[in-house]
Amino acid sequence: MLKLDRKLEKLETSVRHMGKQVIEQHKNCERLFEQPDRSLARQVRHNDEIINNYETNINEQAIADIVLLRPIATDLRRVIVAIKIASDLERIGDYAKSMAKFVSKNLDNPATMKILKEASFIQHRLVIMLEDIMEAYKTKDVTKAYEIPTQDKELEALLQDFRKIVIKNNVADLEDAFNLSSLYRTIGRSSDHAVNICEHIVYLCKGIQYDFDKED
Amino acid sequence: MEEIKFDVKNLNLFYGDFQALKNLNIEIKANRVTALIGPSGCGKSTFLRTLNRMNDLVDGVKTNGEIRMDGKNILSDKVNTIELRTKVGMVFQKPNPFPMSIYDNIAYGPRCQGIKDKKVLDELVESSLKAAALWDDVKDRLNKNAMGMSGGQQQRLCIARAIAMKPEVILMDEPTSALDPIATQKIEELIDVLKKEYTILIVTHSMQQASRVSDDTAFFLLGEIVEFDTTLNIFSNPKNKKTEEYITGRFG
Ligand SMILES: Nc1ncnc2c1ncn2[C@@H]1O[C@H](COP(=O)(O)OP(=O)(O)OP(=O)(O)O)[C@@H](O)[C@H]1O
Ligand SMILES: [Mg+2]
Repeated sequence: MLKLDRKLEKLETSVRHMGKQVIEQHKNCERLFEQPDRSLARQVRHNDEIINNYETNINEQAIADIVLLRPIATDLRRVIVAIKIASDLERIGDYAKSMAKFVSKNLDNPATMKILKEASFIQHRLVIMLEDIMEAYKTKDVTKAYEIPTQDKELEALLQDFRKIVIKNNVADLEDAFNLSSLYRTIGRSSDHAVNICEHIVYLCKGIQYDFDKED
Repeated sequence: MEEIKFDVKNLNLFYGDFQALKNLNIEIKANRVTALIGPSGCGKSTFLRTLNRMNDLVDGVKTNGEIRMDGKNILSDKVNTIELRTKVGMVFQKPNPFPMSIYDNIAYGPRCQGIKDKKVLDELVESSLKAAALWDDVKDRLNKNAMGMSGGQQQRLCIARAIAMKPEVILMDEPTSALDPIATQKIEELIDVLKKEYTILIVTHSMQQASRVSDDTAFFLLGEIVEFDTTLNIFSNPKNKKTEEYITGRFG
């Protein structure tokens, strides 16, 4: 095995570990939606730092690989894609942190907590999607990378419905309704970044820049 | 539209019974740098030498097919090879200055062509040395023996010598393999400048050099051209698995 191969394997392993952490964060958010828990919410907020460190470390590794080993062709794409996925994962991690913040803030607001609980299945969808994506990255499965974004479309539709319900039912006061709908947006944004990762996987496997937004 | 300098069609070359070039088809564009890469013995130098019929000098060489330079088949018997080699100059792996003064090294070719006028020769020597980025180094010692120059200077002298013949094409066969990184960089910079006026083909074993200096790259393997594309495509997303294996050092 070439030194370059070993280094790239190591780099991608770091990205996969980072992915695991991010998924763990979102799983915890799902738990929080179902069963509000002050200390778990604090832990999620706190763990965001770990994810940020992962990104810094991946960027450092990537720079060293470029400078010292001068990757080209597929090798170069592996490095670039590692950097890009790490950057999207970091954002997805940020959204977990803001979800946890939201829970901490609304623990004593039963109306909001109730709606949150109903929304937990959407968060579950996000978790599944992230798991599928990291699996596609691991196995460099371009077919899966093309398929997964349909999950984003479904998720988007669910969120739309939910937002309507929140507004129609006139739950709690206006401020709570507003907060909730911005929380749903964080789920939507996470899913958008997840779709970006699918694009990076396509680039990795095929060397083409694909844009899932332009599809329809 | 880019002009095509050499249009090679179904080119085969045999050293006796051994076929060194197998049905090559390639269009070399004018005013671009084309890199020829591939493992040792794959036919890069042989191909380069077909472009100015230097292989004619080797016993038992048989060539067939077509090489059109600006539309004219240079493999035809009617071609004046002396004239062809004036138009298609060559720089070799090891700098090979003549054992004479720097000035005479450059003036040698033009004198053979019958240029005697001292003033014309002076100008030619100066402009050629300038074009090869050597003038400032040697302008005060033009009458010193060229053998006393550094390797990098000698190689630029050889480039200046080629330029003095007013060629259209410059062939370079591993021109920096005997030079240190600084001299190498100077030659690479020079190639970048020269391509405005000349069509350049360069054989190199350094993938980095190929990617730095060339616009197009041809990958040779066992006498065939496996892939020919822009250098950017070859080094970012090669189509052929063998090309990728070679350029990334995973070959064989
Ligand atoms: N004069 C010759 N007589 C017989 N065979 C020759 C002659 N010159 C070259 N060959 C053979 O032709 C093939 C191509 O040689 P060539 O020198 O063109 O390869 P190359 O790609 O330039 O290799 P390198 O990178 O080592 O310079 C080789 O197998 C070589 O042995
Ligand atoms: Mg050779």
